Amino acid sequence: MPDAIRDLLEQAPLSFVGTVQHMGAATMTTLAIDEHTAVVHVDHVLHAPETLQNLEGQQVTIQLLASEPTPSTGEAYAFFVQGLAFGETLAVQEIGRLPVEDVEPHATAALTAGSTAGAFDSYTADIQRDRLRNHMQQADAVVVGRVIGVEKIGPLVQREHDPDWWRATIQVMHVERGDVAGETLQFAYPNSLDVKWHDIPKPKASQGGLWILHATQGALRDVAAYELKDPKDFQPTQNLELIR
Amino acid sequence: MLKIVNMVPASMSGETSQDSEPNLAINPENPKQMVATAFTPGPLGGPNAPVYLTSDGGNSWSLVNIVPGHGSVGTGDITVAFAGKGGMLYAGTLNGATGRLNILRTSSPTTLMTTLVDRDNEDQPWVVAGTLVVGAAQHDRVFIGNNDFNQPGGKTATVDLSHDAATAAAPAGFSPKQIEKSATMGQDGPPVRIALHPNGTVYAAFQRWVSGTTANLSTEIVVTRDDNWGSGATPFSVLKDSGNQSVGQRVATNRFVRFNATMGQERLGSDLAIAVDPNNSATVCVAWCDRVGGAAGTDWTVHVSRSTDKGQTWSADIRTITNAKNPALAINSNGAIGLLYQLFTGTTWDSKLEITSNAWSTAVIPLVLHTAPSNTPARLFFPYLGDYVRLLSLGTHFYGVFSGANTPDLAHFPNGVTYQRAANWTTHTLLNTDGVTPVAVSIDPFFFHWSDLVVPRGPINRGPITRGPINRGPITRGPIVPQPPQPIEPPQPIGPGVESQARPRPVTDLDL
Repeated sequence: MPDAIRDLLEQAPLSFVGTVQHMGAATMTTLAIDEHTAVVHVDHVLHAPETLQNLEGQQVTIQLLASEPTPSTGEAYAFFVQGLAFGETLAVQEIGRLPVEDVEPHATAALTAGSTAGAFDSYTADIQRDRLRNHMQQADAVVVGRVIGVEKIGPLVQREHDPDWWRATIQVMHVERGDVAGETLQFAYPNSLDVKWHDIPKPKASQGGLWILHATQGALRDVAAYELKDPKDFQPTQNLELIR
Repeated sequence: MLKIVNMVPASMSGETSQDSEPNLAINPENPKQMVATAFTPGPLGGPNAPVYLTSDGGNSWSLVNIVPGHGSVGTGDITVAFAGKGGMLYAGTLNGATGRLNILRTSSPTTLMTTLVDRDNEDQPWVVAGTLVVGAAQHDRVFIGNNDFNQPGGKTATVDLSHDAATAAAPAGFSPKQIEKSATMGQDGPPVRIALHPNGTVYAAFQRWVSGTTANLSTEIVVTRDDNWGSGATPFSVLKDSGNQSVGQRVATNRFVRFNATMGQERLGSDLAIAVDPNNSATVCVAWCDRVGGAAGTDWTVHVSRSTDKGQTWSADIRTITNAKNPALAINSNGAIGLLYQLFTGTTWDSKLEITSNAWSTAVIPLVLHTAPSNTPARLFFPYLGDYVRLLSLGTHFYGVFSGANTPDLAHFPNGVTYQRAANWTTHTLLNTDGVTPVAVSIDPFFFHWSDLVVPRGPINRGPITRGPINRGPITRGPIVPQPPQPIEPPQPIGPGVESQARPRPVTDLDL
């Protein structure tokens, strides 16, 4: 059963124990209603992003999977869902459901520990670690190093969404992955704070840690062998353990 | 009457995103239905980005995930427009996942949009739509101004257009038309704006980058025109410059722009708007920004100019505003010109609306929609407020959107405001959905609706509505156990949710 929980958590950003209150009804006027639309009372939030951890006690609309048995009013399940619409209340699409007893030990343990919406913290942490591990395994180089220089390498920004390429030089302390030789390594990174690039790491002088690098393509290859292109491309050194 | 609404829904009271760069579409057949956009991420992620949707004239808004492509802030650049008839909604986006230009449509604003065009190397799609009725047939004429770096010769100002966009399979007749016909320094500026008159007159304005570098640009404001819905082999070629006879009349020349300069926490460089009089297609207004002080200057100045001969000759500035950005124009059915802009005072960003019935021949007292400290919240990315806002007219009404700091302080809203999200107006604190947990200040999109309807009422002597924390203690309970079936209650109507936060506002009575 733990695998079933994990499988659902891989897809669902929100889960809660809820009691079906009405079938063929909704809490929002903008939704199309059919026989699989349900109004559900949120009894307990199992996991949720921070902004939605206070759903307990509220009514939400769930578009239930047509492939699942239609629940009766008064029945409770652990619902795993993704977002559909957000107004005065929430409307979500069911990804899957489990009997309440399957999640009860996790919810109880989290309540006992005083954790809000923390029933699946260990699962979600595992999933995050696995995703980071996969990201590192797909990289062309993974090194530990400290920034010893940054320089602008691109032309003046011509467009709002230009990356504004800069190049960082790091002193390499450890090569975990990739064909990296020498004591220093250079990689390109978009220094733009534009909406398109703002969440890509911007190396700073003396910044040390784990750099996850990707081989450059096209013209960028002329100025650096590697680049940063994902928000996860800088990590604390201890995350090196994830790919060992 | 002036109504201002914070568009973030109650269920998203905990959000702290930088919801900048708003846009707006009104369904002209049902003005209570509107769609708005901003850099708003889907609250639960997923493959599709959200839009804001109202079906009650903007009093309440919800988010629905209907835009393909979801990045860290939802979609990239996005603008929207409804067709004149039939209710089709169109969008131009830079896909949030790929960054590519997408032209989208949907017959219902709650249904996932269909991708009609997917093209790389683009910027700032700006959508305007109309419907041509021929007998019993309706043809959606859709125009999408964009900066298309695929165009040859550095002549990047472009309009994608379709003469029948509603039903055909992708690309639904859309194809790019290069409207820049003169030499540039390598490209045009990002904004290409459209104004569509019901008689088929279409204006397109763009910012020509003539020479220099992005740090020291010499620019021109150019207007082109088509008199038959963009039909023919060479659309947007009717208007010839009265000086050099090239396609496109220059409204302003030799204007200095330092692209990507900053003012407060915001970047500058992409400010352009155009509007046509719905009663007279020969009357058209343009607004833009440049730095009057040149290379040594620090200003960013809004200019408004008007033509009454279909764009051939242009007035000197009929309105100038120093240190402002995001001009947006609309002209209502009374011929009144609306100008929305965001003024930087050095310490605040002030979003203002001016409405004039005589092209500023007499001074207009701006309506202050919002004023808030310019240093709060800290910027997460550019653009801080947006590279554009939008103002629309329908009949005598003006509708618009802008983004600004969401601190719940009545002093920031001299003309009142309604919040859907939870807030304590006494302590000026945003609250999460529990009504207790404080939420940090962020940038939110705001909707407003101005009409010349005067509400006859005296002053309302009541203070601001305040909502304090909900006093409930910790929830104590044991393990969760399945609940037995409960008696079925009769279905209840969809009811109101969280109470809105409103304050009385003074009657607005502009003399049009």
